[in-house]
Amino acid sequence: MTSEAQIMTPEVRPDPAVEEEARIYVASQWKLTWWRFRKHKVAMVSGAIVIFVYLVALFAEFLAPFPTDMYNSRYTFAPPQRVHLFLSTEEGLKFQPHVNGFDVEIDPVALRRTFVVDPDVVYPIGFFVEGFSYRLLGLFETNIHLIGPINPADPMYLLGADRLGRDVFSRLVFGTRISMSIGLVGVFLSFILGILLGGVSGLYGGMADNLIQRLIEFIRSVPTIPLWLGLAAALPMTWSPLAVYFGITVILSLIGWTDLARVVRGRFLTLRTEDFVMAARLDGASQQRIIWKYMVPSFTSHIIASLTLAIPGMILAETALSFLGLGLRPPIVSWGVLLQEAQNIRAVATAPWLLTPGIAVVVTVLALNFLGDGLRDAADPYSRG
Amino acid sequence: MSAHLSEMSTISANGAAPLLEVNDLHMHFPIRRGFLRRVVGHVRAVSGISFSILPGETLGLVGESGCGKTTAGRCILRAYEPTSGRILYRQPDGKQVDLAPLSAQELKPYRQQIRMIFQDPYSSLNPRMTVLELISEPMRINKTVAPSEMQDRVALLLRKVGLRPEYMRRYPHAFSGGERQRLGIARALALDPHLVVADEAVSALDVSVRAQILNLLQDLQEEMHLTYLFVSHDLSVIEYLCDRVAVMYVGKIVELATTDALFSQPKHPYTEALISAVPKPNPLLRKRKQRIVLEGEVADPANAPSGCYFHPRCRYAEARCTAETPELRNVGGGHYVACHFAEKLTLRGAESVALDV
Amino acid sequence: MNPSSQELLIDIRGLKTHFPLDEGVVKAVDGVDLSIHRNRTLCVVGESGCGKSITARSILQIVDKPGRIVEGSILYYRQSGMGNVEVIDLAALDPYGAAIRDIRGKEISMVFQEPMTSLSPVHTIGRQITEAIRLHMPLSKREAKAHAIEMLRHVGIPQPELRFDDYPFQLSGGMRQRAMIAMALSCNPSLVIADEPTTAVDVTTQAQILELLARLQAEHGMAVMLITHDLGVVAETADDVAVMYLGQVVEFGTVEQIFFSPKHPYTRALLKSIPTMSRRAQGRLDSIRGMVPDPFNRPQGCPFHTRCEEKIAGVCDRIAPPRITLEDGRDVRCLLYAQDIEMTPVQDAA
Repeated sequence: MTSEAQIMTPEVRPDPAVEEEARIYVASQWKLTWWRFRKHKVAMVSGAIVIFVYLVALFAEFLAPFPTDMYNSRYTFAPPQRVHLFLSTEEGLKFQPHVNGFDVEIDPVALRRTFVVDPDVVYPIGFFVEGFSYRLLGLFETNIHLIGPINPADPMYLLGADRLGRDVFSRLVFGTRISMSIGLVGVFLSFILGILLGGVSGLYGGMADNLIQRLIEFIRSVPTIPLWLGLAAALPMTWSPLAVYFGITVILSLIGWTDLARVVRGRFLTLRTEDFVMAARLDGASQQRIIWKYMVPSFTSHIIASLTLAIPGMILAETALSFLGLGLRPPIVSWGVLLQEAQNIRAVATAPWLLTPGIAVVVTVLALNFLGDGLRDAADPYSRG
Repeated sequence: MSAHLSEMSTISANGAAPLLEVNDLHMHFPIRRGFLRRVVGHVRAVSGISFSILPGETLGLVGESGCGKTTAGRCILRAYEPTSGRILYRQPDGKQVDLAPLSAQELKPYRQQIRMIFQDPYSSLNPRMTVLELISEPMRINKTVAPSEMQDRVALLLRKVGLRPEYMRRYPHAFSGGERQRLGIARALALDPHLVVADEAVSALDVSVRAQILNLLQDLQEEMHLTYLFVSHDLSVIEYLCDRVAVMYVGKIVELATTDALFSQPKHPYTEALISAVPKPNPLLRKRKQRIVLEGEVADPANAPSGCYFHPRCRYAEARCTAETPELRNVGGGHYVACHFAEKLTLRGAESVALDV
Repeated sequence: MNPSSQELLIDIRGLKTHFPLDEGVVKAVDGVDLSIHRNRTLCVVGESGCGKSITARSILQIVDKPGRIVEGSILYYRQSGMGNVEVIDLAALDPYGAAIRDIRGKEISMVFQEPMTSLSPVHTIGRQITEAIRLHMPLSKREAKAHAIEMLRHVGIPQPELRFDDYPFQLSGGMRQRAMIAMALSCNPSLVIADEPTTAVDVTTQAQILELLARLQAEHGMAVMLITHDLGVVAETADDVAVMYLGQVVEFGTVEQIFFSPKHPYTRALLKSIPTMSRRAQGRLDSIRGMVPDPFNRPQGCPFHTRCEEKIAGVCDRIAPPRITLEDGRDVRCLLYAQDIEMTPVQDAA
């Protein structure tokens, strides 16, 4: 802008309003989209939540105090512990975050174990404590955790324990990683399929378009749940958990690509007749250049919005399959797997904290949907009027 | 058809050789139906038109929506592949080349010499490119200007169309409709073309801005020795800007003459009705003139009537018109008409509308 | 323009319709004064964005959100039998109230530019017209249908009994516009507002529609407010003309006054920029330099001063011109015709 300012004729005063305008005039598509998105408050908040959830997934080992498979039969179905910040000692109140231990009492009539908080047993907890060792982001070895008992052997159940005395909080954090990544990987796979088939369909038209459209219609006409069930049941039981994980994402994306293919096809069809695309053709631009320089940039923002809106579907599908016992299986921990364990009346009656993964699912899915809506509204900053 | 075509070329050749000769051009779009997308018919958007454009002149192509004028323009630009016919373009060295059968690769050099100005200044500029990228794009694709000289060249073009070069980093959304149309013109001129096809280039603009753009087009024509094919539905703009005018009706040219002759002594009943239908900006005229109001609607190009396409709406039609298709023929002085009774009819032309303001 | 010989129907004074947007307030209509007389055609002419459509929509209180009338009055001189005239300020009515709904579509009706978007695509045109009739007239279904068919015949739709059951998409553009006009006229309104009724149709169809409007006006004796950007249409149809620029009527007079002795520099420039054959001989068109200012940044003083060839430096960019009535009865908003401008530095014309 500085060199331009010099050429400006003297009659143009540097008026702040004009400066503001000039800022809009030189703003690229992404800037305009961002400015428009910013006005969408709910989407902004949802975006922050989604980023938070993905950060949790990324730094799961750091955030979780315990590994997913650490169990303690003393604490089966232990309720969540309250975190106390101050400890009363002889010298008075002292700042020492801690949780209290439990006394286990057995109801002589119902033979049910009940946990009674024992205020005398103090397990000090702290931030950045040592625990199990892991490789942070797969890069360097460390054993520091954000929060945990100062003595790694001490029990700490912020969200209670499950039927084997495993920490629900740690498992929820690890489950975030699997559930969120299955959404991403699945969407990525269906994105490739959708772009490819939708692109062929929209760009070339004719018979290819006809075939692909009929295929899409066929896939969409098959009821999804039985189809998932059938495909998931076909995965060999002998597969490793990792292979099953991958198999499930492939199954989800094999069904999920149709929506995206339709979006891509529709965009190509409308863009093909756009004047500026014809202008490029008359400039002598090659087909490659027209596709990559004119058409694709015109709908990337729409694609991103569609992708964001597709992720929750994937997450829900994984959760549903795992919940029914046909998706991921232990020892893999996902929100669906966790919910499957809460699948009985006892869990709801005596250990409602086992349902916390359900809250995580609802919050994440809602946040992704609102974010996607906001993106979709902001995706075309050039719509007139 | 061929007899009068050769005659036409000789007549247009009596000054300079024509820059472009269009011979019996057809453009039929298939209508497809059903699962197997079988062709069930054709929309004959352009069904056999012939005309030529002399270097330096402005030829107007006028008609109502659906008459095929835009399709004809796009065939010449080879945005469409014509069904049949020849598009003979004369290169600067005098050799003629038929553009109609050329492949995309073979067309590339001619795409630089024949350029287009679009109607809609909003949809014809890629909103995701800055002015610099937009205007330099044709030069980059055709490698006519070195990258180091690109900025200067774009600045020059912007000045030429009356825009400030300082704005070349801005995006199209920063500009008003008239300014965007100037950008479109700069794009068209970037490759130093010989022939410019302007498709309704001023139709989307307001009266005051339209006048600016018309003036600009005239100035540029003089300065850069351009030849225009000006496609429009607006008779007043055509009358103002063009040297010769071709009137189209349902895919055919019904009359072609110099602007003066066509507007003062139209020889085709459709031209007469068209001229009469244009509202004249002079309140005195409405008291004394009898407007010819055409009955019915424009014929469907997928299902055109027999004989002369205009006969169902023509007030002079006779039995012969329903049976026999009139050819476009010279009735003297380079005035071409496709009407059986061109010599017999005395038709009304445009009245003077001069306002003293 | 002799007010005594004509019956006033609509009198708009100081109308302001603003659109508060995130980017600022768009003053689409900013102090419009004009009047519509019975049995006469008023053409409102101006370039896009001058507020001509919003003015028309303000009369019927159908301005799109977030726009609303912030100031001014729209006096409607309603004939209530026995020669009594009742005066209603339409601007003061609740846009969703019964009072305006009673007037809308019955006494004042509207014809839109694109009938395809203003007619419902899922109902037959017959049904839409019948519904409009029954909303305002105490007719039975059968009577309403007969009346609708009569109206369709009246606007020149061939075989109206058959077309009655057609959907809008089955009709051509010209026929749709005729159906729209039939609907607007079905309750015998005292004013028909036509917003660019011929912009979307071809010139031969335009001739048909304009002819039809003129015939219907003569037969029904209603007033017509025709909004257009085409000066040719104005010259052929108008009795009175209001020239608008940036939300104001800059000149208001009879069609002869406007075309043969335009007073406002904008009117003059507009007339000069029409392309014609005779202008071609002169070589160049007179165009108005620059372009319509951004709606968010209206110029101070006279809105036209940035493009005006006759502006008085230091005056026009400072003082907003008031409405000045000249001797021949026309209104002009231009300081060239103001007396003693230096002594009365008007800041706001309203």
